[in-house]
Amino acid sequence: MQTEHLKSVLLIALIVSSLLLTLALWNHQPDFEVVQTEDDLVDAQLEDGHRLTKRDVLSPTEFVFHTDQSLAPLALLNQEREQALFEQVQEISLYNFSVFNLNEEWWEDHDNRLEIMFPTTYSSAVIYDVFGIDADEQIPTASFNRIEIVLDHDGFQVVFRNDEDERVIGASMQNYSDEVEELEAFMSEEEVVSLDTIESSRGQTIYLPNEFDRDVLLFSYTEIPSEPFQSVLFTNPSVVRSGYTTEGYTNLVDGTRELIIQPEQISFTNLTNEQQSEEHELTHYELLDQVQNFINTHNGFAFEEPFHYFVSEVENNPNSSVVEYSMSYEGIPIFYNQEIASMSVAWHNQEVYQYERPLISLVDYRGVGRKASEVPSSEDVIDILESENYRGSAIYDVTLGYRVREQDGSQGQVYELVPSWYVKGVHGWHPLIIPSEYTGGDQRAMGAN
Amino acid sequence: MQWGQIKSLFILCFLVLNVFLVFQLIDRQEEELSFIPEPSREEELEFNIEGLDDLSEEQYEAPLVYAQSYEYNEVASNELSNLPNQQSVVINDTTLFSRFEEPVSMPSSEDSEFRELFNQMIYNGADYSFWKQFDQANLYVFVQEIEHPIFYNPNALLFVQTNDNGEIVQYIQTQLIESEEDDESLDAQNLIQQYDAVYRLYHNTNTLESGDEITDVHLGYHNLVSLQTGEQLLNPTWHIEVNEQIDHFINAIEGHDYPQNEDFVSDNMNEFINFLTRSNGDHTIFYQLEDEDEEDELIEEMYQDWLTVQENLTEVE
Repeated sequence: MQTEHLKSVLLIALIVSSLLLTLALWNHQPDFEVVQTEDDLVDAQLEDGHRLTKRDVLSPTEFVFHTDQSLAPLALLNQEREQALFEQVQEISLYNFSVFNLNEEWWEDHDNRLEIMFPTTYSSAVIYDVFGIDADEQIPTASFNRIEIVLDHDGFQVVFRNDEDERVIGASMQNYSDEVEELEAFMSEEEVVSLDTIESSRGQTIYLPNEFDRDVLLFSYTEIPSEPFQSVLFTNPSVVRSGYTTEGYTNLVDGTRELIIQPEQISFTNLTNEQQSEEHELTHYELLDQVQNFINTHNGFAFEEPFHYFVSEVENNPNSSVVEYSMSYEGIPIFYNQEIASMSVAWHNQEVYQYERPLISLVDYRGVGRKASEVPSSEDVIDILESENYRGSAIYDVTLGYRVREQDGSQGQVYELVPSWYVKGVHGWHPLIIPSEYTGGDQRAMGAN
Repeated sequence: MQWGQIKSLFILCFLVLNVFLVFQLIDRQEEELSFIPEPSREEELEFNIEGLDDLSEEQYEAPLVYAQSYEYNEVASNELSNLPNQQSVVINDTTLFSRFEEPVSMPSSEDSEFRELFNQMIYNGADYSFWKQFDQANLYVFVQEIEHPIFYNPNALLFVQTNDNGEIVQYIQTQLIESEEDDESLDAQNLIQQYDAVYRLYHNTNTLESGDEITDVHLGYHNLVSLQTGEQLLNPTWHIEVNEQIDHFINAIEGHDYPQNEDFVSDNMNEFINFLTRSNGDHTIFYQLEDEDEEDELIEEMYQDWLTVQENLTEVE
């Protein structure tokens, strides 16, 4: 009896210990200290700045609706509504990506499609971010600057294409017919304008709205303090010495880095990081990712809605790796003046080499200043582009945006957004150069770049 | 079966289960600590680069130095008027060109002998140490020291030209002066060790090759960007000499490398020669000349000789 009693106790002990051991195995966590990353150590940030995801900054500049019911391609009259349309497009679930070639003739034969154009070329890896696609889905490697949603084709429902070549990425859409219906419904409810066309230097079609709003919009602004940037950009801000440049701007140095503070912008250079090492060569996507992290770490996107920032240029070659963000107002790009409207980061060896950004942020809308009657019509723009002035120049795209500048006579208190035509050439976007006969003698509107 | 036998069977089963669980738990703990054996980055460095054994393991300290260009005309006009056996001109207040009336024989390459000679002949000449020699151009380059040598700094240089007999004919001198500031930020700072500097040079830049030898490492100062007033902040910097030929520089506080500056001497030679063509400006003063007629003559002689140096220098390169 005594042995049986002992055996019972032993059995219970064994059962309990096996349960405990199972629990220990289940909950076992590695007991390593978490290493602080460099990002955690940087505490200086812009108070009123934002952090943006890649999805936030990959925005299109133009939407073109091709339909067999209209001879000319169409665009939304109210450009603000393009953002809503793009949000709707981003909700579409995509799958089954593949790569193939489609030539220009194919596109001409397919009249029913929505063409979404981006300001610069991205690698296909950003499709994961733009459409929130699962990492398990394979997307072939290619680049694109347009998305085509084909509204009447069973095979290629969404196509990512690049105006530089015929190689495209095709994908299928979940609930294709429902999504197409929704897009068509959206377009049917909106006021549209027809677009004039001209051929680009790469043989693609460029679209220009023949009707647009010429209102010049007025805004007040707030200043972005420059002090946080000293802590962000210098490793040891306490040793930094300050002086003045010959132009009278504040100049800060620590022996290897330089920060120049102008009234409207700052420009920073880390002179030790000028040369790019081959070892640190990044892909297009990694470059964008690292630069975005760099700006987010100090809340560097400083703007007030409906202003926003979008990626307007990504240059990635052995000599220079630069990401440029431009401002937009209600989704309409503002490429100039760059001091106020763009941020650019030259990124070498996985660190910042140069950083230029505005120190002011436009805030309150103060109404319409005037009508910009000097802005040429789409027919005039086509004439100008076909004239002697642009002969021999590469023209990849043309878009209507805004140009921001201080209002004349406002003593720096008011900034105005003037509707402006921009031409994309070899070196990105520049204002259209308008010969004097088109401006009626008023050259103030848009000077040569 | 009896209940007693069932219990025995259960005891046996649970015993086996518990032994298994204990082994699993031990295995897991060990798994996280075991690494795939691969050479560490230190081993890789030690395997490929020679001369690491001679590096000092000392923990060095040095302050950042806040300095500005020395304005000869304002503070040293008396001293310049009394320099032996030479006629001089200071252009732009900060660049001294001087020419010996009788060439002076150049000592052997011992640093102490240079210093002794320069101490007598050149204003604050003992503050300069030998940097490089360009035989075909008859040019010796010395750099100023503020505790340690100041590398690649156009404002802390001494260019010495010799004739074919090896005698000093003339020299160009620029100088930095430490700003006197009572500032905590300029207190001595802990520096990265010599080994760390070489480690960063090897792993972060692509400049060292397998089999290279570290032949010398010493401390100095480096500056890449100055304020427009000429004020500058000198950063403690490790000078790493590789194979007795190539110079690399690693910031001794932050550990980043400095870009190579291969054209430094000829670029500055050019700049100095350009200065000579602007010798009629407001901030130019001649020393030890008897009359104004000699000014143009002196400038012309200096110009021609330095131009020859520059031409030979370009050929050498």
